[in-house]
Amino acid sequence: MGGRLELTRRGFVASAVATLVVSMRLTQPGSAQAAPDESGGGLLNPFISVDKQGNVRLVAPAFDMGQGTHTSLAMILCDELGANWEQVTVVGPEVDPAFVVPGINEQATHGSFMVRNWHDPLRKAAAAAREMLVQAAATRWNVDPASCEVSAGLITSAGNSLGFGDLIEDASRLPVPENPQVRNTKVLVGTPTKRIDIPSKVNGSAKFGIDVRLPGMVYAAIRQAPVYGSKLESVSSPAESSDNIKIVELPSAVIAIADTFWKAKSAVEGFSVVFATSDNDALTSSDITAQRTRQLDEGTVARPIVSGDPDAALAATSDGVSGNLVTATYTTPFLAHMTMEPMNCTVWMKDGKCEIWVPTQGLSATVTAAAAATGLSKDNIVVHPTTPGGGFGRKYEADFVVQAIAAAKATDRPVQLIWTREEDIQHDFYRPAMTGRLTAALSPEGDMNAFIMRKVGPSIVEHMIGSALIDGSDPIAWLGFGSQTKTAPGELQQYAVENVAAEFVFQPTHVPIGFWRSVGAGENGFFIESFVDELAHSAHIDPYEFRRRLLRESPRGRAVLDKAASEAGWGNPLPTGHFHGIAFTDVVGSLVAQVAEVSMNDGTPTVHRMVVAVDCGTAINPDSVIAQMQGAVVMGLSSALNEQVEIADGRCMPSNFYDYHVHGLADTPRIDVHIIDSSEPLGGVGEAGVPAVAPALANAIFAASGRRIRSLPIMANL
Amino acid sequence: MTKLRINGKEHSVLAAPDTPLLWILRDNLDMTGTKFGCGAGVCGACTVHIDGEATRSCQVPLSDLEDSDIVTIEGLASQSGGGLTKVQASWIAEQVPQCGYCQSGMIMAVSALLEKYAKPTDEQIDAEITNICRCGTYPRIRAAIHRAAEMA
Repeated sequence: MGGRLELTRRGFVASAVATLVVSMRLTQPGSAQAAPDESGGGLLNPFISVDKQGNVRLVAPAFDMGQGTHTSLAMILCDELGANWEQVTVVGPEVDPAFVVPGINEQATHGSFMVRNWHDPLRKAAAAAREMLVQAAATRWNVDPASCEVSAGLITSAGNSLGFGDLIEDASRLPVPENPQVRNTKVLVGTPTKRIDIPSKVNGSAKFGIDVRLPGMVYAAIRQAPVYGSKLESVSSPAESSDNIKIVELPSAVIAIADTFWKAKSAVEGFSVVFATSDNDALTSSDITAQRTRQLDEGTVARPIVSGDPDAALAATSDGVSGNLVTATYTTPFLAHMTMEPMNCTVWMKDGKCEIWVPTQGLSATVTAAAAATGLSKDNIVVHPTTPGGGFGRKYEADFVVQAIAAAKATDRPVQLIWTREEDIQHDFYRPAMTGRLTAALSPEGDMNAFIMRKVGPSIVEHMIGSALIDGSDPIAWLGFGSQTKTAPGELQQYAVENVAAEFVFQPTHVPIGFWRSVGAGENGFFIESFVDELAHSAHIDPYEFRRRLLRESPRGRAVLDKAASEAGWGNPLPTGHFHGIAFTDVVGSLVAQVAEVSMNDGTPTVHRMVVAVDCGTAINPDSVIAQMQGAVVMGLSSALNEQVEIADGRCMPSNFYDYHVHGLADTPRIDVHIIDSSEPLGGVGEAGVPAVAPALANAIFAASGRRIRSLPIMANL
Repeated sequence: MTKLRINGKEHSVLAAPDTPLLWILRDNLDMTGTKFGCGAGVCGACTVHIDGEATRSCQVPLSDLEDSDIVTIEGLASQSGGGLTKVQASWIAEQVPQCGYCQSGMIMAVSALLEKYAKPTDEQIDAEITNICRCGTYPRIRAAIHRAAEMA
């Protein structure tokens, strides 16, 4: 791949990364054919089957970790099919090429891709299934299929009426239409719909990975090397133990297996374990940050994005007369996921197969890792994905799967490996700590003529594919800088700026990094929207007005910004001591603006209210969109205010929720969400709300105190 | 052998006296509705009722439980005569859960709160409900608590 990276193309990151992913995880083409089953029902396609009673079984090809994808995807299928929602049950996907996500070439749930990438293919599959049922009815009644109406699981024509259950056997013998007529029926779609997974989540019956129970199952606990990458040297257990404990040694960890988790955990905590010394044993967060700061000017700079001539535009301001040059440097820390369900995996090595039960976002990744760890072919890897108790990108990884396999190999029973919270926070794949230096040229009238952002830090794409960079940069680092919509006016999200450059300096770290809800867009939102605010203040222009001008070629962006500002009452009197801050982001193909209302008390910020406006094209399940924005705001506030993984002695210092503060109910302000339906192509939702939170908050703190926050978390940098 | 009374039923358990109730429930009795989140009494995912009080079961050893009346999420509905409790019905009406993992403990904590304060203020809610939800369902939790308090 050569040449300029085009981040303005929708799905660029998906296609670039997917191309690389495909080379590692080859998927086979093909899909199930329609066929009747033995009990008078039938399969119409991999997503839709119907039984004789007319019950419809839908496969929602995503992992629902609370973002509501099972419901949203099933709503799409149900509406296009014309089924009766009361007769619908929804299941998640098994390993099957039919469920490989279009555009990302793997079975996974990440990138806020599920609804926007599956919508059209599912509409098409459901339309084909509908036409097969209609054809079966039309044949039976000897009428024109065009005369048949489909609604709520019934097909009618003139005086005739039959339910799906009566027609399924015939329908499933028909050929699958290749070009069905997609009607885009909206019965459920676009209306707030109760989520199908919620009832089991209020009575304790929902089963997460950690709840898997199998006959004869035993439990495993693990102690991993505190300093990343350091090797296990020796393990010894106390001489006397009344419990039957099995010990499994891994390159950088030791596992204890017992018949209950408490016994396994107690045992592993009682071992004397020695890990080898390493070069990283003295590293601290300060060292890591200082190195990035040095590399801003000493490192090799790649320029993956450039438009116009930003260098000339900046040079033109050097006289101080034809404009101003503004520059600022920002940093963000490592962040932990803290999914409420800690990492866990259950494995049974049996009859030449490896059977796995796992709360996962990465089904293909799990199969690939298991095949490598066992030496078995993929046909002999059987994976049962369970509901994840929180994912946020962490459960895309397979490290805990490989460990569970090692434990399972030591016994003929099923083994459930559970990480303690301490292991979970200390062996995360953190949002990487990054540094960004931003420089802009402002005309005397306050127009932004040039924008250059230089980012220094490790590469997430390296973590995915093993090779660090594509054209000297990590495309994932530029999420939220470029747009995934098709209507961005230039290279910098929705802003009308001609002279733009994105610069990347690769600075690896021994600290493991990975995907943390909104990934690169997370720190980019803080860097870019804090800096845009600095520019506004430097030009003595209201920050909302300043952004309106930047959005002059994006009516869609303006609508979102205006909505947030007007609902928040921007410019109207606020209670004494209350101030507003605003931010606008273009993330996962959706446009989000947020206004924070803050007061300062004894130098500490109190957040009173967050107002969110979101345009995700169309809200399939509006209540899920609201819920995702609420949750993203909470996570955004928590991470902006308090979260950082401090590294000292080469290791993660926090060990549990008591020294890594995650927002609670009492910390949470009023959050108002407003959805704008632009009917533009679907944008993602799960991650869309996170990036605007930190800058909206930091900008409000500046308005309230004159204090410019350039480093997160806020409470450590006031 | 230790006898435990859980959700109105007697169970006999063989485990070390220092074994926390959380693991007795989950591993000895396969009652997985009560969740493990931190093991340190901080997150509340393991909340049950012991003698009517909301208690974090990861902090209560087996040896402390003789003669205790334990109620878990599985037994909550049966306490109100089967069906859903007001809290559970409110949780569905407000569509509170996202991933759902914290919600057993959250519902147990809230159920105990509403026994203590029939119509809690926001300040009382803030002080008493300290369970952690990483998905950030707090705005809906607050709304559902008020809704449940209003239900007859």
